Amino acid sequence: MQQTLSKKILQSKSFLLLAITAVVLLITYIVSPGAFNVGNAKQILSNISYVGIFAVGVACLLISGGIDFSLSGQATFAMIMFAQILKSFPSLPWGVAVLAALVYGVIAGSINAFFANGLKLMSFICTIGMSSVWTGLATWYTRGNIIPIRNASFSALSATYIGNTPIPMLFIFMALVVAGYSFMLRRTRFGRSILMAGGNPAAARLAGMNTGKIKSILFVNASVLAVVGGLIWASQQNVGSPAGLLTVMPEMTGLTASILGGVSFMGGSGSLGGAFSGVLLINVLAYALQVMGLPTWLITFINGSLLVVALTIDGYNMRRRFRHFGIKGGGGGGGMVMPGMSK
Amino acid sequence: MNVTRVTGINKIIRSKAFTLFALLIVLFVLFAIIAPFNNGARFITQRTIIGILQDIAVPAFLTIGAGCLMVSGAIDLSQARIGALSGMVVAVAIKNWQLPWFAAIAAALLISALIGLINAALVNELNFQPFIATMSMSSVVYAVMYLVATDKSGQLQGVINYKSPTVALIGNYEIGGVVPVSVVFLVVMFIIYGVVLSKTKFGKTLYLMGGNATAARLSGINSKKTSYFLFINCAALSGISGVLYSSRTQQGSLLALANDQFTGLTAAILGGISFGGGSGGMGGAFLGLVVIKTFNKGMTIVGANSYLTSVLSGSLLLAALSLDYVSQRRQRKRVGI
Amino acid sequence: MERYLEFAGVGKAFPGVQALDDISFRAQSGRVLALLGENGAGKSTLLKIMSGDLRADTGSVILNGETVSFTSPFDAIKAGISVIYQERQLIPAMNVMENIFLGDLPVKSGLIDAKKLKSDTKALLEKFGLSIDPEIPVMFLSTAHQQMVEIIKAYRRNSQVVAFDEPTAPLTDTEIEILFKLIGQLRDEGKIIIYVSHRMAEIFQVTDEIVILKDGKFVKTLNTSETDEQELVRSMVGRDIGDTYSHLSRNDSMGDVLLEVKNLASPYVRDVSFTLRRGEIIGFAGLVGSGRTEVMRALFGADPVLSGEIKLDGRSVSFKTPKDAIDSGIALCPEDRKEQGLVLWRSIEDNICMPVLSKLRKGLFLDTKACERVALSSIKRYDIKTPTVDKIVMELSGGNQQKVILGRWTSELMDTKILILDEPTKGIDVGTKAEIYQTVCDFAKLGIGVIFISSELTEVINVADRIIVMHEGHITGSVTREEATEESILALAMAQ
Repeated sequence: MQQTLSKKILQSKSFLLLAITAVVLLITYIVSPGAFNVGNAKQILSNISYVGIFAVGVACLLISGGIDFSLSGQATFAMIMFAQILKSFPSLPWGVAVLAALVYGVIAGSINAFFANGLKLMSFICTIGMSSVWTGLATWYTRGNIIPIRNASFSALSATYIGNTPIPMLFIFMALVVAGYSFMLRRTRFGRSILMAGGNPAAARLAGMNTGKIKSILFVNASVLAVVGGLIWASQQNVGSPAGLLTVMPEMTGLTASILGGVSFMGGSGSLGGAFSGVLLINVLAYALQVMGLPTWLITFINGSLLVVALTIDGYNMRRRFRHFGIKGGGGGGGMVMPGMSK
Repeated sequence: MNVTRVTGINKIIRSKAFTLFALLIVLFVLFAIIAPFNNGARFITQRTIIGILQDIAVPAFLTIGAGCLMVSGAIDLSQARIGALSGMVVAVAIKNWQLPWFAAIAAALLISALIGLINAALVNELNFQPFIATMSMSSVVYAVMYLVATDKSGQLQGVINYKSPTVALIGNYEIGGVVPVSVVFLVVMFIIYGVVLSKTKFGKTLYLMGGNATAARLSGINSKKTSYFLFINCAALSGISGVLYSSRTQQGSLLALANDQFTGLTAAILGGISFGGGSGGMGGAFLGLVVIKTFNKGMTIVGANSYLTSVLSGSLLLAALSLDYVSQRRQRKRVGI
Repeated sequence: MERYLEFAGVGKAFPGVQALDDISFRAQSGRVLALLGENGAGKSTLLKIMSGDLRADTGSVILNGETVSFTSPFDAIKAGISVIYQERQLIPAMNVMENIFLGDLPVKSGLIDAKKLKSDTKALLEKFGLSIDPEIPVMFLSTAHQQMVEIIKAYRRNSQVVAFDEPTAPLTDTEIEILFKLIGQLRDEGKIIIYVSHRMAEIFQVTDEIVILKDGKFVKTLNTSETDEQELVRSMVGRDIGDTYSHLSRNDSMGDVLLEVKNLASPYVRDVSFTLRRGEIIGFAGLVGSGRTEVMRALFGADPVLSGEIKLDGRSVSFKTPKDAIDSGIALCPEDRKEQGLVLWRSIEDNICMPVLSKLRKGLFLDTKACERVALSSIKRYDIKTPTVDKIVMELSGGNQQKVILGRWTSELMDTKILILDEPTKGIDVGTKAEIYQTVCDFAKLGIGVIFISSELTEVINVADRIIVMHEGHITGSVTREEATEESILALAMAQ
């Protein structure tokens, strides 16, 4: 059963997704060669910069068997808070405002962790509730208006590119985050315990792991990363917007990307490389559909259906796996241990 | 040994409905006391009562659909979007397709039911968990709304206004100038569904499925057929909510019902339909809905900002879930597990 | 210092049952101690107390002279007690090395030391002479190899006490040999080993002393070398159980053929053929996982039938859903009462009326009076102990819960021709067991064909008229009650 490295790469989910991405790019090139310009590349890479950060948090949480649908709401609230601080105290270095936003992220994540692990509510439903609370607060505070950000050095963050390439500096930042978390997940004890907590919580507890604590940390982690993602978006748009992120729903993209990339919806398996490849594919696909001139509804439709497709594939894989493991049951987005469903 | 049923005053006092009723009275008293501080507003007036009833009309059908599904142990998170689509279809059908009002409504309800069918298929054929199935469908429904709302020039219309006096009557006609016809309709529907749940074989089936789906199937209950029915029923009822909303506003909107996306869910949980199924009933859900809308109305009258609605609805959902958790734990403790 | 694990006056009660009563014995290091007793004798409760899953009501557990008290299974593991259950405590998607070092991965400067992990795992695997690829995810291993991984995990944790709960049930003969070699190695290293099994032959092969439990009480300790099977069975069963069976009032007039199953195959079983007559009780014996339950599920329309024929009353039938089977007069009391049989948080009445709801209609509505009447008659018939018909089933004892299921399938509105009972006495106290045996015979007298699945050999041999034995998804033999012995059935069950 020893596999050579090249074979392993060829069989990996990431490779498959990257290959599909390449095919999509090729088709786009054939259909509309004009779309291959620096402006578009900048746009896609900028999008991936913040969605990728979201996806890391979502994927880690999902691997541990949790789920959080309030991340966009949290990011929205954080960026409104950030923009307002900058507006009220123009002389304050923006780093302080970032810090405040991150502290907020820790608090918001802890609230979710409390509902999911303290009260043992199903995390999907209580995070949906929290999402409504955070977006509501953001809308209430701003009356639905945007708060402009006028801070040259903060805006410069997203406007800086690596040399003459269309690669934004923040893309590199995002790549480092993905690499760092991926390394953590594979090579540290905590990283492995995330997979254990999601793969067989009972066994993980027997091995002395506090699965509740692990999940709580990951809820907070996902929130903090969402705040970071939200701030990147704010830097790109130069506004704090109560509605902007909610139309993109980066945590749903993160969820779809993770599952496409082999993170099982039932927890316990998957890698960040896969999740990142998923993000890449989804963004490239969305852009390709757009430049090919497809109607908006169809683009929305295809993006919406991707999650269903990803879950169906995951369900098929899990059913096969569990049959082999001698456990009956398992199914598409269903089965035994479920994010947000384990009580 | 004398084997009997528990009856009498004890059962009434212990019931969820009693608690909710008490809560409702507390809310009324509280708001009646606080309201005057906000520029001398008054809470207990005929206008408030009718207003609350009118506020109930749209989410009532969401509540009924969500309640039935939840009793059987499932959930539908696409309700609000289905309702919005349904309203959009009514608007477009009347304005652009020039359909008569009844055909427009029929088309809206049919499309809603179709989405319910897809939800059911995802859950029953592909074994999706209901929450993720309906959540993904929610984005697909949004895309369909885009399709419906895009005009001939390819321009997306977020809001489509139309004029149809007949349709408007559905949402606005008041019998004798006092009681809105939509309220009468919703009360009748609550009673019908309440009776179905508590008095018929079908209703009993839902509780047994919600209590233990495997045991129900092995005891000859066709849970798949029932599940299909419930998802379609829930979607069609959401469609009715959408039609009602559209009739009142005379428009189709991408964001219709957004404020009520959890109202049905929250009302059902608040009313004692436990998350996970197997308990509760329509009476409780109705009272839950009344409590929610009384609370919202009260908040508006005492001067809370309308932008806070979404905060309130989220907090209420969390409060209802926490209460449900507490009561489930108490029940478990009583049996000693 | 002498090393031992001692139980001193351990007692544990569950609602309605005294599961353990004043159990005292000592397990020495370097010896394998067998815990022997019938189902319900209290072996698993004792294991659970040892592993920190349950807490004893009275008495104490003493490890090397120190009283230990665990609040969680993790405490027990830290104290050096590992229990190898049949349900795997492994992480499916993780590889062998990580599972062996679960919760204790070697770390070098903050990172997982992959080299050490691999070399340590290899050393462990070699020590026990196992050829398992350390880098393969455990979900791709066979059941036996998964079990080995668990044993090595326990060894790696330096556990002083290793307990095995029916470890051989899912294993083949060669695999059992490897397991026994492993256990021998552990014993020679001075571990305290507790071995729970039903299988006599194994107990003589692998253990040094035997503790016998019966109905939650300690009976005696025997040296394996100084005893024989007869003595063990006598101590385990006691005399009164034999009486239970001889007092059964049986049905002695069998009718014509009711059910004929020919070459039935489902995803889990193959080539299953048997017949059932009216008033006959067929026992299905076999090891756990031999496919008995799966045959019944296929027959009942709960699993798909791939090929073969089912004839009911001479007519060919095919059931797509359990409902079809129920409509034709087949009833199934599933193995797992709580998971598959009962709707625990609903009333007795609801649970009894479940399959006959469509017969309880008055116009559009349910006839509540009739529901109550049906429930009451079943409650009376089986003497279910409850003050009201709307008491929730959760609050009943195991025996009464089982009676609710029996009441469901034999209520006055049911027309049950075939009753399938899957492990109906599992987890039920001895008194109620005897009642259930008599009930089963009474069904037969009414002309019902009964299929009785049980893992308790004495029970199935003594209750059924004919015993069909299964092994790995197919039938290996059929014996009548008169010719059946525990040995002959066991031999068939193990396909020897």
